[in-house]
Order: sequence, then structure tokens, then C-alpha cells
Amino acid sequence: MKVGVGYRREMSDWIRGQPRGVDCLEITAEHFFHPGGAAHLTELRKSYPLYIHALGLSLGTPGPLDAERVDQFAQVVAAANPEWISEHVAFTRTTEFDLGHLNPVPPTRESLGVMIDHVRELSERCAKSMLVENITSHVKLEGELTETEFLNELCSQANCGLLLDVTNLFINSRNHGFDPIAWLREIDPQKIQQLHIVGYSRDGDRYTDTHARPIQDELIELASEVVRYAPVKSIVLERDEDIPANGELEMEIAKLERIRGSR
Amino acid sequence: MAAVDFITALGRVLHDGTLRDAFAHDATAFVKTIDLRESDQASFLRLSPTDLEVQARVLLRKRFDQVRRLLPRTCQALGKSAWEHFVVSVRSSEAYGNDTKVQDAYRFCTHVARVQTSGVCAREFNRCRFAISRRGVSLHLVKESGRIPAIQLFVRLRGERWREWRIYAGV
Repeated sequence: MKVGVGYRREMSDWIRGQPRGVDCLEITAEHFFHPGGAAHLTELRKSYPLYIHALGLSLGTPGPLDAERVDQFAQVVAAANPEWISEHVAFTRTTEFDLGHLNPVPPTRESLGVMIDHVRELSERCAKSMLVENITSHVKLEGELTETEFLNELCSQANCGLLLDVTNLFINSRNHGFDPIAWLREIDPQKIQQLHIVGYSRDGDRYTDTHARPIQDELIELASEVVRYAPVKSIVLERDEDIPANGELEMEIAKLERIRGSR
Repeated sequence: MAAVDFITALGRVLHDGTLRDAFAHDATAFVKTIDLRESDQASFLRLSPTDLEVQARVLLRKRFDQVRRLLPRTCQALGKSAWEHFVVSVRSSEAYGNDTKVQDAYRFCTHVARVQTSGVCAREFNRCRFAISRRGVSLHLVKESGRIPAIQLFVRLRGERWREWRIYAGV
């Protein structure tokens, strides 16, 4: 199992120094849509295996994918030649608005069909295998399926894997009052290929995913449970805000190594 | 006109605070007003107004983070109140059309300028105003307390691209 980090501009010097423990990098596609992005990726891939992660393709929106965004995404993928690509089980736009961030799709047969079509389309367009990621949501949506049934069917019918965000699972379990281990046991373990992890935040009685905190012990325990349960290939630190000094980043990477060691 | 699907309806209420208020006030009337597809009505009516508000705040926080990068001086001057001003400025915005970070920043500046004139950095406000306009050229004399007066010039290039120059008095 590889240990990696979500590449952020603020980390570039640290990454250039090839820090101990970092085996791979996850690239956020939208950060590389600008001119010069492809050349940067070509450099990075000389040193690390890459994964390409998308934020705004809005796979859950009914209707066609945004052609311009898909083109930009495909160009990033071509430049990076990643091991796999990933996007969220979510919508970020409707036919009326770009909401700018991830929102849940209802676990209905209709939404499942939309997601399957979009995952297949993107995977074929990029000629890469694809993973889908669970998100956090403060809104609990209902449908004919449970969330785990929805994810299993999506992975099975779209022939994709699951990027299990351990922090998102933990946050949802706290905000919506369910057992994350029971949720995990309902997921087909063979589908879980990659993990995301970062510390959670609290806002009053709500748990939130600000991607700004060190990984807490409860998350290490949950992630360790996941790697004992499923043949995970990679775990990635997903720190976006308040990116700490190099020493603290290395301590976070050491936590991921501990999780790997618990297998 | 075709009935609205669940995702479109959810997008609307997450985007527009006045629609969230209407849903919280009378959810049944709300789903009829927006012509929500009948098959989606039962599940939409089970949404919690409190949860919707929290989810909307998460989206707003992401938008605010982008606005902070465009308006660092304005946000620094406003301190913690910048967030609450931002929430008010976008809650009352129109419900339709794509929001961009520049439009958010412009609305925010307009709102703050109305309620707290000294809170807005004139240079940043001019920049937003020009960015969302279709003008080819714009020239401003900027005088801010504690700073050297400057002439701020914007020129639009091809397409959406534009450039800014500042000429400082006495420099």
C-alpha cells in the first residue's frame, strides 16, 4: 500500500526534496487547468506515481457533462498519465447554477443511472480506470437505496473502484448518528482502492471537513479498520487549508505509515 | 414548462437564502411554487430546513474563501465581521444565473460600501467593478488614508483578459 499526499502549491518545495515516506502524489485536476499546468505535471510524474482527482465535474447532475471541463480534465490526465482518476459522488452545479462545492445526490435508481453513465463516459474518454469518492453532507437524502447499496451498485455497474474518504465517513457518522464500522461492513471490500484522510473540525455540535486539522486518533483507528478489511492500494493525506510546516507534514505522513502498518 | 427535478430544486434552495426561508416557512407550498416533479415531492418535503441552512453555509464558506483571496485588504479591514457581511450580501442576491467569485466579490463590496463605507478597499472594489463590466478602459483616482494617492488604470485585452496599472503620485 502506497502512502501519499494531495499535492498543493504550498508544499512544492517540500515535495521537490522527496520527503521520506511519500510514495505517490494525488493531483487536483482543477489546480492544473492553467497554461503551464501540463509541463508541471510532466515534471512531477518523473519523481512520483500520480493520481488525478477532480472536484467540479459534477457527475451527479442529470444531463450531459460540461464538455469544456471534461476537455480540460482529459488534458490534465494525458499530461500526468496517472495510475487512476477519481471524482466525487456529488453534484456541484445544476442547469441553473454553479454551486462551487460538493453536494449530495439522492440514493435513487435515477441518480444511480446518471452517475453510472457519467463515470463510464469519463473513464472511456480518459482511457483510465476510475474511482468514486464518498462526500460529507449536512443534508441527509433519502431514496430507494441506502448509501452503501448505492456505492456498491455504482462501483459494480460502472466498473469503477471506491475512493473511501475515511474522514468523510467519520464526519457523516457523527452528524447523522450511525456506526461507521457497520457502514464499512456493507461496502464490497474489493472495491475500496484508495483512502483519503485529514483531520476533522468541529463547529458547535457539528463535525465539518475543513481539511485544515491534523489527523485525530479516532480517524487513525477507523482507517486502520478499513485497511484490515479491504485490499487498499493507497492512502493519501488531503490537507488543503492551514498547511503546516514540513516537520508537521512529516508527522502526518508518519500517521499514514502507522495505518499501513496496522494491516 | 417541464417540472423541476430534485437536483435542480436542491440547488435552488442551497443557492438562495430567500428560498430556504420560504421552504422553512411552508414546505408544501414551496414545492408547489417551484413546480417540483411529483415523484420527488415526498423526499424533498422530508428535508430538514436546519440541515439545508448548514449545508448552504458550507457552500458559502467555500465561496467566501475565494472572495477573501480577491479582496485581502477589504477582508482584513473588516476582520471577523467580513464573513457575516458576506453572508448577507449573497443571501439577498438574485436567484438565477451562474455565480462567479468575481460577482460574489462585487456584491460583497457593494453591500459593505452601503453599510460601512470605510470598510471597502477602493482599489479592490474598482478591480471587481471593472472585471464584471464590459468596458474596454477604466480610470480611477484612488485616495485612501495612510496610502499614497494613485491613478488606477484598467484595460481590457482580447476576450475576458484585462490588465491593471497603478501610477503613484510623486513616484
